[in-house]
Order: sequence, then structure tokens, then C-alpha cells
Amino acid sequence: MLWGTKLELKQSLRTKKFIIIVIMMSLLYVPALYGLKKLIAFMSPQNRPMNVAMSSIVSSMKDLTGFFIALLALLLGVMAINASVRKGTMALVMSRPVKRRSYLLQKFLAHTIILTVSVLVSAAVALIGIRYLGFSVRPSFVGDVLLFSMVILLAMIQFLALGYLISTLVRSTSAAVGIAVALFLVMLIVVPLLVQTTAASNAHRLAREKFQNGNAIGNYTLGSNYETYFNHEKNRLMRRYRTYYLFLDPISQVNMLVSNLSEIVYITRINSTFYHAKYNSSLRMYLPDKSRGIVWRSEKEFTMKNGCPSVPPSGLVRVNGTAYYKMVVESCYRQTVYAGVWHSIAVNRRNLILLLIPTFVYLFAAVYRFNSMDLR
Amino acid sequence: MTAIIIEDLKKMYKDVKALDGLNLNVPEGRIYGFLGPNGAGKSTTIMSMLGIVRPNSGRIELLGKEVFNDGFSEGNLVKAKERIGYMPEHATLWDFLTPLQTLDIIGLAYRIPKMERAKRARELLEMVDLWEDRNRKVGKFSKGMRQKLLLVQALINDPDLLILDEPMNGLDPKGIAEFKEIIRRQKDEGKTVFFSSHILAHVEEVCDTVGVIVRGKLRLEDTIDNIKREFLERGGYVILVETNKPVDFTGTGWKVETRGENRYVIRASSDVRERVYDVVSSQGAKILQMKVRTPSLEEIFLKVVE
Ligand SMILES: Nc1ncnc2c1ncn2[C@@H]1O[C@H](COP(=O)(O)OP(=O)(O)OP(=O)(O)O)[C@@H](O)[C@H]1O
Ligand SMILES: [Mg+2]
Repeated sequence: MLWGTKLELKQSLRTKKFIIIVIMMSLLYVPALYGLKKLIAFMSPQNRPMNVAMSSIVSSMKDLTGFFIALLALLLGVMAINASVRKGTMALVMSRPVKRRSYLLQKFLAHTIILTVSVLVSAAVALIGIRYLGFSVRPSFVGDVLLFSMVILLAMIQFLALGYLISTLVRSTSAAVGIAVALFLVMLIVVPLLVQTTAASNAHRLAREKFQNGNAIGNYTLGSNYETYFNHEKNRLMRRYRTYYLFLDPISQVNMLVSNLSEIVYITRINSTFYHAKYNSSLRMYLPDKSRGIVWRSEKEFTMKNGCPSVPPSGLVRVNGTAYYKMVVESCYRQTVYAGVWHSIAVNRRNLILLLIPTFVYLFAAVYRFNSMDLR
Repeated sequence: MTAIIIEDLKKMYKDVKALDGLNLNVPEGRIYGFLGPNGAGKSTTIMSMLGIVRPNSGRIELLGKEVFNDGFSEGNLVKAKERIGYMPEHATLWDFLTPLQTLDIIGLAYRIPKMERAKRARELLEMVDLWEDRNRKVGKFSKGMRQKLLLVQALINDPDLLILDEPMNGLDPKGIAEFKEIIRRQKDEGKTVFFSSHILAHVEEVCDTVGVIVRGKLRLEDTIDNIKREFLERGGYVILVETNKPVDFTGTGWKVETRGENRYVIRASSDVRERVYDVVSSQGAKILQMKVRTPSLEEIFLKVVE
């Protein structure tokens, strides 16, 4: 019956804590919306692509907004236990027929509900704002915003769990807040900065090796100059380091999870028709043409050149697994298209796991610690 | 059945030894006064019973359920707590809730149905004169008002065992009278009440059994009648004598103080009333009044704690 959850929710409502958090969170995307407004001044009202709106919302997580949600959730958790032990209300609660472990989890659930509501409100504000700016909000876009909000929520829950752990380890609330802020600075600012510097210096090294004496070694096609190569390598290394070194930084994981909102497709002209083709790692081409409801799968392996099939330029293709058609690749070129949040999460699912694991570790440790505490 | 059994309970707070092999036995249906000087470990004992404080070793049985045996059995503890009411030492409640809301949310912990909770809340608040203030925030309450609310919140589940930590703290005489009334009613219903207190005059009045804890150990545990009898027998006789003319008590081996004209306070290790009579009459005086003063709990307490 989750008495602890009801108790916490009731109190948060009465102390206005609930409403304050909701209001603060509803302002989350206001700066992003403002930026978007500036941006679309150059676009005609008829042509306002959703990916512009989405990427401006997503990119807001890269700056102060990310720190804001982190601090909010961390501070919510950091006083969850020690403050009421100090005050004495914890004794009042624990004299009731409720198990210790359950109580902590019930309270955590209440805080999770508060965060969920506030994240949903912030998503609603974003959607209303985007609509107000003249975009036509389609269901798929609503889905994307909600999905992104869920990713944000997962990050906040991790911060909340970390806060709970600190709250069970440090009795004094002011000391706990101090430790939380210090951890915040180290985990979210200092370490990511160090990692970024490392990525940059390694990228420099690689670029220097590549462009010794100003000449490119080997056949390099992505860019012909030092600058382009350096940026490309730095991004590649940063993605790698975010997974390998910044796994305790949920904001990094959120950024990873939404780092592939667009994907490269190959517009392929086959038998006088254009298709969005994708080529998988075994170089099999398949053509998801949803409008026709068919899946084309080539029977032969391709060799690729610049991401497009080269040899053979023609082959047999099976439609719906029945008939075989003769296929001639007449032309092929790359194009970047918006693929959505779900696609981005699927591509970076490792980072989703990295976002979840610490949450459980922190929460488990908090429960363990809470279980042996003197609550006076 | 025994309401509370505590065996060899030990509790260290970091380097402070708060309980040092405590033994306690509270039969059902008793009003048990738990006494001890400041810092003796009363609150620690009470909080250990409820699992708020985690003792290091020992055994605790509440209402026939073993809740602690070198470690808590959370299941048994929860079952026992269904039938226990607890009033903490410090008058801490949720400042932002009103008395009605407070009792409602606490009643919910025992899964009392909504109508029943409302009815019970009204009864309890009327019992301690807080019904008028039912919709005011507790944060604005005086200490005594909080204390009253704290007392009735312990009664919301109609507990078989009531555990109170210094319940009379900050109550006015009317509040104390109400409190005593509540305790007596619990006793009449066959419930057990266990409470710690410093106000020994009140303890003496309402309790039938007392336990005295000193530095984490139980020093004394018995019914008040037995304790008094034993105290007298162990050398606590105080005899008040009033005679018609001065009497010289030197050489009798007693401690004698003069209290006003022809009034004496004699302290002896046994009942010396007959010998007092002999001494007085041998000096040609008459006894106008003589009585043995029964020791107060306070005196006994101070002696035990010394
Ligand atoms: N949280 C704590 N940390 C360290 N020591 C503590 C803590 N709580 C209590 N103590 C110590 O444990 C001992 C027993 O304290 P306890 O509160 O049980 O005494 P008490 O009999 O209730 O005293 P009082 O009559 O003043 O309420 C004291 O020496 C106290 O200093
Ligand atoms: Mg105490």
C-alpha cells in the first residue's frame, strides 16, 4: 500500500516542495525555445523542419540546463534521509509497522513521481512553445520529445539515487550538501573537462602523424586538411571517452544517447526509382520502402565505395521473398536525414545501460547503509 | 504473556557505551515507570525496542514476538509494531500538517479505513482538548500542544503496548491530569504502558512497577510497594517524634536532627519506635506524636542512582 510514498507525497504537496520543483522544471526549455525563436527568424513559416526544433531542445542539455537538472535532483535526494533523522520525524515514521528497506524505496518512489511529473510538465511546455513558434507538431515529434524527456528523467533519477546515498552516509545536512556540490563539480565539470582536453591532445597527435610534413599519408577521403581531420578525430575520441571514462556522468550519457538524431542514408537510384537504402556491416543492402510495404534484400554481397555499392552495379533482388527482379544501380549518393530519438537511443544502447547501472548501485548502497543506521 | 522482555542488550554509539547488558521484564497489564538519570540510556532502550536504534547484541521480545536476537527480524518487528504505540521524547511532528492530517496519515500506516480514521481522530483530539485547533498547522503549536498531539498519535491504532518517552514533558497541570486519566484507562482495558519520566511524584502516583537504569544497566526493578518495603528494611527508617519537653538522644547511636521546638527527626537502620518510646519516657517526657515517614520514590531513586 506504499504508505511511505503517500506520506512523502502528502508532505511535498503541503510544503509546496512539489510545486516549486514543477515550476522550476517547467522553465527548463525556455532558453532553448528562445534560441529557437532567433534561429527560425530566417526560415519561411512553411518550411520549419522538426529536426531543427528537436536539435535545439536536445542541445540545451549540453549547457547549463544539464547542470540544472543534475543539481535539482541531487539536492532533492541529499536531504531525503538525514534531515528527518535530525529533526526527529524519522523516529515517528519508523515506529510504524513498515520495514526499513521498504520505507526507503517507498520514499524514493515518491521523489521519482515528483520528478516524473515535473519532467512531463517541462515536455508539455516545450511542445506548446514549439507549436507557438509556428511548427506543426506531429505525433512523431511529440513522441520524440517525450522519449527525450524520459532520458532526462533517467539521468535525474540517477542523481536522486546518488543524493540518497550521500544522505545516508552524512548525518549533517549542510555537510551533505557541501559534499554533493563538490561531487557535482568533480564529476560533471572537472573530469569531463580533463577528458575533453585529453581527447583534443590525442586528436592533435593523430592529426600530426597523418599530416607529417603537410602531406597526407595513405588514402584519406573524409577531409583533406589538418583541421577537418583533427575535428573528426576529436569527436570520435570524445564519443569513445564518454563511454569509457565518463560513465559516472549521466549528463555525458544523455548527450551520447541523443548524439545520433540523424543518420546517413544512401539515396540509390535503381531501375529509374529512388530509394533510401541502408547498407549493413556485411555489405548487404536492404531497402526499407515503407510506402510500398516491401523489403528488398539483395542476394549478393556488395563492395562499397564512399558508402555506396560499386561492384556489381546490378544484381537480382527479391521482393517480399517471392519474385526476383533484375536490379541496376544507376546512381547513389549520401544524405543526412532526421532519424529520431528512438533511433539514437538504439544506436547508443550501451550508454542507456551506463545510465541505469549506477542508479541501481547507488540505491542498493543507500538501502544497505540505511538498514544499519541509528535513526536518532 | 510478558509485554516486554529484554535480555543482555548492548548498544555502543561509536565509543559511547549506552546500554551495557540491560535486562528488563514488563508483565502484561502493568504501568511501568522507566527511571534513570540523564544519559542513563532510557531513550536508547526505547528506540532499540522499535528498531529506530540498532543495538549491537542481546535479545528483545515484544508482545510475545522475538523482534531482535543479535539482529532484527523485520517481519516480527513489523507485526509487533502493529500493536504498539510510541511517543518520542522530542515533540517533533510534521510542521506543515494540521492535527487532523497528522492523525489521518499515521492512521493510514495501520490501514485503518478512512471513516474509522476520521472518527478516531475526533475522539483523540477531543480527549486532549485539541479539537478546536484541528485545522491549524502544527508548526504554530506551543510545546504543550505538540506534546498532547504526540501523545494521541500514539493511540491511533488502539495499541496493546504503549511506549512513551518522557510524556509529561511540558504539560500543564490540566494536561498532566488528562495524561494520567489516559494511562488509567489503558490499564483498565488491560493494556500495558511503559514510560520513562523524571517527574517521580507522578510516576509514583500512576505506576505500579518501576525499573531504574543507571549507565546502561538495570539497577532495580520491582513493584513500588516492594521497593518501599525493602528500602525501609535496608536502613531507610525516618521517624518523626514530637514530645512535650526537650529530650536528649545522645548515645543512642541514631542520627537525630532537631526540627523546631521538641520536634526530632530520627534516622535509623531499623524500626526503633519502641526504643524511642523507652528513651523518651526514661527522661520523664511524653510522646505527643510519632510516625514513620514512608520514603518517597524520589529519595529511593537518588539513593539507587548514587
Ligand atoms: N546519536 C548518538 N551518538 C552518540 N552518543 C549518543 C547518541 N545518542 C545518545 N548518545 C549517548 O548515549 C547515552 C544514553 O543516551 P539516552 O538518550 O539513551 O539517555 P536518556 O536516559 O534517555 O537520557 P535523558 O534522560 O537525558 O533523556 C548518553 O551518554 C548519550 O550521550
Ligand atoms: Mg531520553
